Amino acid sequence: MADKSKIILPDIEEYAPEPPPKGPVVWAKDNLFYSIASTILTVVGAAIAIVFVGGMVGFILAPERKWEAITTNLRLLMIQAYPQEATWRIWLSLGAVLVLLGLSLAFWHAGGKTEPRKVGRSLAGFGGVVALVVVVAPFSISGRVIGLVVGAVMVTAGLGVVRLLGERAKESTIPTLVIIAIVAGLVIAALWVLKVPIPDPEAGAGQSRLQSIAATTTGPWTLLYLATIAAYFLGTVLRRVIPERTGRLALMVSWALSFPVIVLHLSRGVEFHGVGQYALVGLGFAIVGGAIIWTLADPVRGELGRGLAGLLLVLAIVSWAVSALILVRLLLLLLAMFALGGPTFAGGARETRTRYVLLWAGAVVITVYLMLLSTGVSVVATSNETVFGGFFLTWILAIAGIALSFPLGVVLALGRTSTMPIFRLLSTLYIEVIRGVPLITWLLVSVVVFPIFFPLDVSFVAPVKVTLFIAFFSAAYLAENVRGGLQSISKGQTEAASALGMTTLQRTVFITLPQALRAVIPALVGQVIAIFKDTSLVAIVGLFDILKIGRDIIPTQTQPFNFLGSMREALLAVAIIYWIFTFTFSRLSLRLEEKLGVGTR
Amino acid sequence: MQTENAKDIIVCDGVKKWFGDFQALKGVTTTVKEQEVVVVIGPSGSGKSTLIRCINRLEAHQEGTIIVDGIELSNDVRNVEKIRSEVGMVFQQFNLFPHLTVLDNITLAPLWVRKNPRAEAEQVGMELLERVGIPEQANKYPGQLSGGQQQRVAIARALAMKPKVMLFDEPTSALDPEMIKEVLDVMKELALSGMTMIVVTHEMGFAREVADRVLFFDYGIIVEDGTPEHFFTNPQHDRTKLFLSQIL
Repeated sequence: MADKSKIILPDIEEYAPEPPPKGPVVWAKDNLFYSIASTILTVVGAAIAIVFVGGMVGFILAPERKWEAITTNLRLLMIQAYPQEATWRIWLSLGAVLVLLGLSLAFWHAGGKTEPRKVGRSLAGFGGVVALVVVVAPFSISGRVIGLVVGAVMVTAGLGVVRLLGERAKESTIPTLVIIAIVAGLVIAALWVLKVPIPDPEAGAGQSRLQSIAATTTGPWTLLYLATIAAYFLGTVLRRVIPERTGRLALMVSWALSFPVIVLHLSRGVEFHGVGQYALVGLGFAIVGGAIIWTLADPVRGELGRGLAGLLLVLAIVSWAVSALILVRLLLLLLAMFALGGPTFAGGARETRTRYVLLWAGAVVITVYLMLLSTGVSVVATSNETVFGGFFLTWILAIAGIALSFPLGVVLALGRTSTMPIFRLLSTLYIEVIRGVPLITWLLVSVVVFPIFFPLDVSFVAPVKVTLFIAFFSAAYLAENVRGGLQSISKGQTEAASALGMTTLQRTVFITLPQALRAVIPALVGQVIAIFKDTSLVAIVGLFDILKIGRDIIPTQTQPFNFLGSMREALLAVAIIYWIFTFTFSRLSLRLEEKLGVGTR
Repeated sequence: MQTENAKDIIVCDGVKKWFGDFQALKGVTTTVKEQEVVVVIGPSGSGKSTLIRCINRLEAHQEGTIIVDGIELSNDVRNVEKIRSEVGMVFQQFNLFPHLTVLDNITLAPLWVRKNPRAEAEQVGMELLERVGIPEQANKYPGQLSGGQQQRVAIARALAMKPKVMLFDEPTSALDPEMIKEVLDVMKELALSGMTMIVVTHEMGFAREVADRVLFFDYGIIVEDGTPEHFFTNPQHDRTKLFLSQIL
């Protein structure tokens, strides 16, 4: 009686007879030419594909193309004017992120299994495409021969794998992570081996010498690759030593902190002036605040605790209107939040309250550290505020924009579905106003209008201003997506949570929100991709993102090389770079959906 | 199951409830004593589900009083949350949380409402899963379980709060026939262990075997109130006789 579904389903799959293999002719007849209309569609589609691929590859291969405009400008495209002597900071940051990634992959047991048969099939298919392209596109005779040989080798190898495994194909699997590591390793190896002509100013105009595409970065990339793999194995060891739950919590906190720490380290030096004052303020808040939280969260306070916590929030908000140390304002706000959450998350047993107060102390330390970082002197010696540029700027804007817009969007969605009319009205108003105006307009508002709302002693650099407005803008769209998710949760879920005595906050945090977010993952990923691409609009307020560089800088370079008229090459390259990442996002979201889908229905 | 001189745990006095123009409860007065098992039966739309949903305030009644464990139900949120944590509820549609594992479903409320330490909550959770007979499913998700297993998890989830009263809202109505028995067995065991229970059901066998009292509802009032023997063999009202003749 138990586990009926579990027993029956795999059986059917396992014992179902394999369909007899079909020959290519039969396959084509069944799939491409099964009716007159399908035949016409197949022929027309193939013709369009041939013309398009031929034209595209022809464009790329044409002798007058200045691809060296891209290969010599890769640094500019990636990090624009970031000072050469500080580049190690970027590598270090990237390294930190990849090490975190490696550890996280281990702790979350990421990556499934892949059948080698499928890898073999993709390899063969890819080889077929290579062969087809060299035939269709205007390659030279020798180019065609090389292409055909490469294609044939790939097809043979791929089909060989499929044939060899044949019967045992179902049982033998390899971890997907291994395949990803191998592919990444091949790309890194290619950086060392493959040489392309790069213009050489010392040899005179029009002269070039063969060099690896990323000559100066081959070493760092290799190191990062090895560090990621090492971190993964370190993670597999660590997860046996420390409890998985603790490890995951530590990693999540690290991820949350990594972005502010990295951005601050990239722009500021750690120069601890005023460290004494900051430490004192921090210590005071940690102790007094801890005592306040401890007292207010005590269940004997009851409603009074919540009331006093609300008063703290009012005090914190008022502190922003009067003159006070920014650190004090921030810590007051944080304290109010902790005090408000206290009765819900820490009321009751002594040990949960102790843990909550320790959490508060940790939050104080982190806030003080970040504030110290942000008041340090700029390490990157530039005269203006656009030290962040290129693809690097795209990432910073996208990550910060997404990180800020998610909480805001969720709050707006909750507000719009709230039963309290004032929240509903405010949220609806915000969403409709923000969505009704184009992003470009908001970006202009961010640099032209926004600053006049602040006192003279408060000013933000351009990247911060545009980040805020990208976040405001995308939060309105996110809110609508999340609202859809919230409305899809059945009433029974909230009733069941209520019947267990959970408060509204607990119901939202543990029951409705997690399910609502899961339900709308595709829409959320669409929003992430949209933000990622929309960052290119910041060119309108004078920031140099990768698209601006590709469109306006590279095609106007005349010294030391003449790259005039290379706009099409640059735009194509930028498009490909964007596509690689957005495509990866959408693949990852599919995996995420599969993985989280386990729980639903 | 019921002992002499047991204390009243639920007191309903003249409870009235309207949904718009429709009056679902037209003055319900009854008392449930500790360790008593009360089975509520009646045609659909008679207000029996509404009554038990009023007892833990999933619906608010408009007139009359409901007193649960000495606390009167009112609009005070703190009172409502307090009562809900003392009153377990099992739904027709199970309403398990699909994004949490079976064990997490059970430990969530003890962890965050009762603020119990995790180790203790998980230990109690596993004991309850043993009690309802599916400890091996602890780390699966509700969607991977059969209906009967899901309902047993739902019972364990409600019991994890160590409630004083358990409410069952047609717990077997959404189940395939072959799974009804496994749920009823768990409920019988629970009744024998001395739990106070109010069960809305159409399972006459269960009512006859386990109930201390049977309430027959129709048109928002209690038509018949008595022991199972009285109810099944010697009903007083014509309406009850008609109902029994249709279902037996």
